[in-house]
Amino acid sequence: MTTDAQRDAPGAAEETPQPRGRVRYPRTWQVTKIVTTSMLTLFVISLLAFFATNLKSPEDVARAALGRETAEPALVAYAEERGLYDPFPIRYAVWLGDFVTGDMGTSLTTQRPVADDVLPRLRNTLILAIASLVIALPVSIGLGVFMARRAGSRTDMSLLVGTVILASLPEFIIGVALILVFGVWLGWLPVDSTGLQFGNAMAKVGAFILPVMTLVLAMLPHISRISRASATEALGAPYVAAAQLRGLGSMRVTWDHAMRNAAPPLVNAVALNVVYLLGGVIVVEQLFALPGIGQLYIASIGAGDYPAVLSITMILGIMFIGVSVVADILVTVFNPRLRAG
Amino acid sequence: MSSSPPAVKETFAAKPPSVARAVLRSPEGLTGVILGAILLVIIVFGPMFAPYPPDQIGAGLPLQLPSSEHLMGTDQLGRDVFSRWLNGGRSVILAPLASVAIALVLGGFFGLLAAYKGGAIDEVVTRIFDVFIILPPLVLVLVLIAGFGSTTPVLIITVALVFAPRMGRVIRGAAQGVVTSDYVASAQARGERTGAILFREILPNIAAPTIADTALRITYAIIFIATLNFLGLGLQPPASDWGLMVAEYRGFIAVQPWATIWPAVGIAALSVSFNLVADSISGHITKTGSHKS
Repeated sequence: MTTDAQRDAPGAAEETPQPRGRVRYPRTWQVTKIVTTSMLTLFVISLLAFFATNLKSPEDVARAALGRETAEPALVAYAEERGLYDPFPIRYAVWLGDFVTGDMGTSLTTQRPVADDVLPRLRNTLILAIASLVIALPVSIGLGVFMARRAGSRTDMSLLVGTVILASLPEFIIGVALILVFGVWLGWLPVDSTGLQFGNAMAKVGAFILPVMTLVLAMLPHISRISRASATEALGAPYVAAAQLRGLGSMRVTWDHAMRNAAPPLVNAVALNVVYLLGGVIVVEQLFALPGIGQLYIASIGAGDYPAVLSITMILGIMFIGVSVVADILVTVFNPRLRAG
Repeated sequence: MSSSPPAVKETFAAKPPSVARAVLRSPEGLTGVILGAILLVIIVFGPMFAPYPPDQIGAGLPLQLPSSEHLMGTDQLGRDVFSRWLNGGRSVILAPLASVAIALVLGGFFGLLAAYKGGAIDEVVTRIFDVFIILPPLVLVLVLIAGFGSTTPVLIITVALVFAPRMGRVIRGAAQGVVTSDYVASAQARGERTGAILFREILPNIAAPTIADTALRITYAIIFIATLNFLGLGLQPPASDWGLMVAEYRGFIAVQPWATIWPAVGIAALSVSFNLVADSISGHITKTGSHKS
């Protein structure tokens, strides 16, 4: 779900607070702060997720694992053996210790280690996410600059309305439209991802095309609007006029002079889109029956498979937070005002 | 179901006439209003004109393409898709409106309070907003649904929890520009209560940005809740919700595409119409520069 992206950029509403007084290494200070904040966020996510997946009574958990007909003493024994009667903080600490050392627990549905189900699927999810990003970024930034260079023209205005409309569509609607056009009517591409498991190399690539296209179209309006805004601002700057007066080519002026200065806010906005893109991955995997962790996530929530839900929440959380940390650090590195002094 | 049209009308009535006129004058806003009005009429009155009960299995042969008998064809159980479609819009609009209303009340109250009181209260409220805003929305909602069960009330409340801090931050930002004004100072001098100052002095003066943000949030909530229903985490079959219908009929898309197309068109048209109106309102606000946030 990419919709909130522009509005909720952490830095959008207010400037990041600067350290009071003189700080000797502002950049180091800033990076330390970013990393600390992200660790805290991850901690909050883990607490929330652990709380939400441990609402059931120990007996109910045991009954879900052992079957409905199990006698009371067996349930109690099972719960005691698993430490389900321990106080919440202790159970949380034990789980955290296990998770950090790679033990994600046992799935309640398949009775196999959760890690065995999650890790192979993670590869598909990462291919999907990275491929979408590699295509979406240049295309939407290019479109944004294209619009900015003719800001106010009829082309620009119709493209703007087009992005508003595209931005209002949920990912699953975009995906259904693509399935109809390319899968059903034209018959060029498969309507789901079964080719990923049973087909040859061509079928495997084919299985990714529509899911990737869906995510690209979902991100396109957001990133291109942000880059249009930053490009319009940068193109209006005096140094751009100066560069034009010096007779530099329009491509050189746009990309080398204007966009170089528009980069920091763009990086920030793009990072947020990546975070939301990872949410869209869940929807797209479900729509195309693509075996990634998002699809497993939805199935686990439906089945009440709490160890799996908890582990996947943490993996998604780490992916989200990782992306924003990288972006925040990039912005800090680009920002000349934070040079060590 | 009668609560949906007044809620929308209120949105238009509450803002200064110039904003309403600006929306209706921009081609974008006018399109949004007309499209939204048509959809609301379909959603509110449509169920009365459904030719079959929406759950009637075997109203026709299964998976028939559209015909004069069944305008949108039939589904895999022989239910009339047109009748289901006419009944399927209510949850698509009502649940998001409920979510945004809860978020507006929660976020609005704490946002106004933080801006007005300042100091420690402002600090605490802003920090809490920030923590919630950093959490990835879809994951937050999904993990809460995993814990509390996939029912419509849980859906509405969790989505409201996602929006409340975001709306609260916008409202706090807008209110901060107003709290230092003379009319607030004179209300304080008259000895008015805090509640009266918040809701009678400050709120009316930040109406424009609040309405613009609310309209946008409704769009997001429509997308969000339709997506959750599509994922099978909200309403359960045999409910005839548009999001759920897309999920249910997606497997038959090669045989009977219309069963998937019409609910998808319904959701798309609804969120596009709200987004067009929201976009034209915020465009108008930016142009006139009537607020600072």
